[in-house]
Amino acid sequence: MKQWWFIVLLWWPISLWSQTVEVSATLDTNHIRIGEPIHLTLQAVYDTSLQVEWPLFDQAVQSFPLIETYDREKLTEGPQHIERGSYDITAFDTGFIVLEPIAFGFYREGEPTTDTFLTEPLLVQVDFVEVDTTQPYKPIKGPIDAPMTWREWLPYVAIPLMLVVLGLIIWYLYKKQKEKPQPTPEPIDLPTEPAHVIALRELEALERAELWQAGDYKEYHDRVSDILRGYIERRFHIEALESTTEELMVTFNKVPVPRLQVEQLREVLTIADLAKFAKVEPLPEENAKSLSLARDFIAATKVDEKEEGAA
Amino acid sequence: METLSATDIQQLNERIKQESAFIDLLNLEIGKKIVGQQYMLERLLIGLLAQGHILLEGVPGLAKTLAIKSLASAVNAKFSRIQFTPDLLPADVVGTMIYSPADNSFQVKKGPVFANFILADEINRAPAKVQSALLEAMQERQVTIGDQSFSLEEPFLVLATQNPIEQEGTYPLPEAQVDRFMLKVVITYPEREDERQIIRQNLQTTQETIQQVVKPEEVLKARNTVRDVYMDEKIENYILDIVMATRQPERFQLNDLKPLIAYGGSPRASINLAMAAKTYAFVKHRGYVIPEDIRAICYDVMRHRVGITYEAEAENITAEDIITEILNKVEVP
Repeated sequence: MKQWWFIVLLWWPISLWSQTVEVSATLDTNHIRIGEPIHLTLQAVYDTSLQVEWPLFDQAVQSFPLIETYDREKLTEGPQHIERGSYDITAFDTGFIVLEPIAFGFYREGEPTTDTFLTEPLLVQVDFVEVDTTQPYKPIKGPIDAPMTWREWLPYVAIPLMLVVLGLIIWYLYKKQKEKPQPTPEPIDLPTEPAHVIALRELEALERAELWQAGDYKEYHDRVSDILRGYIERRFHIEALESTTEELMVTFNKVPVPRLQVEQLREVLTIADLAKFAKVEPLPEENAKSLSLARDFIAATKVDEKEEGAA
Repeated sequence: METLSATDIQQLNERIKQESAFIDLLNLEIGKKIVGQQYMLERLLIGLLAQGHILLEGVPGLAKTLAIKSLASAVNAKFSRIQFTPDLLPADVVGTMIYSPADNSFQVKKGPVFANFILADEINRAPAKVQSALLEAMQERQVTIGDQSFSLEEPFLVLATQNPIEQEGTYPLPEAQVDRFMLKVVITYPEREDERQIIRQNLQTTQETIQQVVKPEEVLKARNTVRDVYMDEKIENYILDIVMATRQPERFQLNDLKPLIAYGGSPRASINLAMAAKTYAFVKHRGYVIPEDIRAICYDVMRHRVGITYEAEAENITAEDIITEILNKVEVP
């Protein structure tokens, strides 16, 4: 009799736990084609005095790859908690596949022991996709265009916008620049007299100065050379003052001036160069000839006043 | 300054006509071997007579070596060629002390710089210390080996060449050292007809040999005469105007050139321009300098003495372009 009571006392707490804890695993279907999702719901009903150790899906279920995990929900109804977790799983093997029992742990706050409760194993039938071998092969489908995001659209919008803004800035600056008063060029003192008139007057003044007669040959020929060069600059628009005698002769090869006059010019400038750079003292007749040749050159090459007036 | 009368200049002119006669002989003799490089030959003579040295720039195969070798033969002077390479040492140029075990002493071994005419081929291929050794010898006209100094034999002319292509792995001469060359001559390809003559001459079975036509003493005498060539004050002013225009272009209404010039010609440029113009007049058998002489030699004297800015480089403007602008603007006396 004493033994009977002992057995009752020993089993009493276990039977008490069993009444307060209930775990289950349910599938929305147990027959799928390969790769199709199955919705799995895990539920634990337990006493409010207990704590649950929810199973980690990857460790608990090996044969069914997890597609998605949904948020767990927990309700309290009277003295009990009802906790549900939902998952989408699938299978890539065919045949009958067992969803193994999933283990839940339960314990009381402050107590070291944890009790494990297992769900029932479930059987899932996974079939191949039926292929109609009588039909011909279909071509491989091309990639599907993903919708464009705003980041992808950005360059198409921003670059034209920037170009428009840049164009507007350039247009604005151009307009501003155009409106700015332009500096008026300084008036150039153009000689009012023809080149030959100036040159002949200068030669006359030189003759009156009687430089070579006073022994100043260098100054005399320097001035003859300068007057002639000045005349050539004004008359032919040749940079005669910046050219040497030889360069001037080369330039005159391209100017429509009679050969005789070019030779006259060469003679005058050569004598002038000798007087200027080699201290040569030309003979009196050479000095007078220089002036005479210079006048002849001017007379032969001057612009006809009538011709100029007509132009 | 000594003032010369008109008669003095006339006499000088006559003397120079006589003393410069050997120039024609030289040209005739060298012309046997060299065709179409009259410009280079004229500059070589200017360097020789003005006691200057020449930096020659031109692509390979333009008879640079042959020209100076022929000049050396025509003057019967000692010629030496130094090929500058990256591993050349100063001692390879000037010489060194060699230990003699027989008498347990050091003996001087003179380098190739001990010659009258030196061709420093591709001078920019050697490092700075070798370039300096040669440039020092050029400047001082003497060389120190160990504790002994040796004067270089006159006439002494260095013709250094630079290749305008293949600039990789070269050591460009610094501006200060380039300034020591009296002339920087840029030579170009010969004319078509000249090149035809070159082909024919080179294909002949018998090659012409250059004979001595001038004694070195005549060259040394001519060097002194060159200094006597008359240069009028107007020409001096013209030289000064050109050099000043490279320093202060705005004073000559050349404001556009101001941002293009990094630095202008030094006083050495003025000295060399005057000396080269006198020599050019001598080469042309004249006893006085005319503006044509200045203009003829101006590019060779000034092109390596006018530094251009990055702005000029970006616009592809060269020192020659700047000199042209200056010559076109500065008034000829």
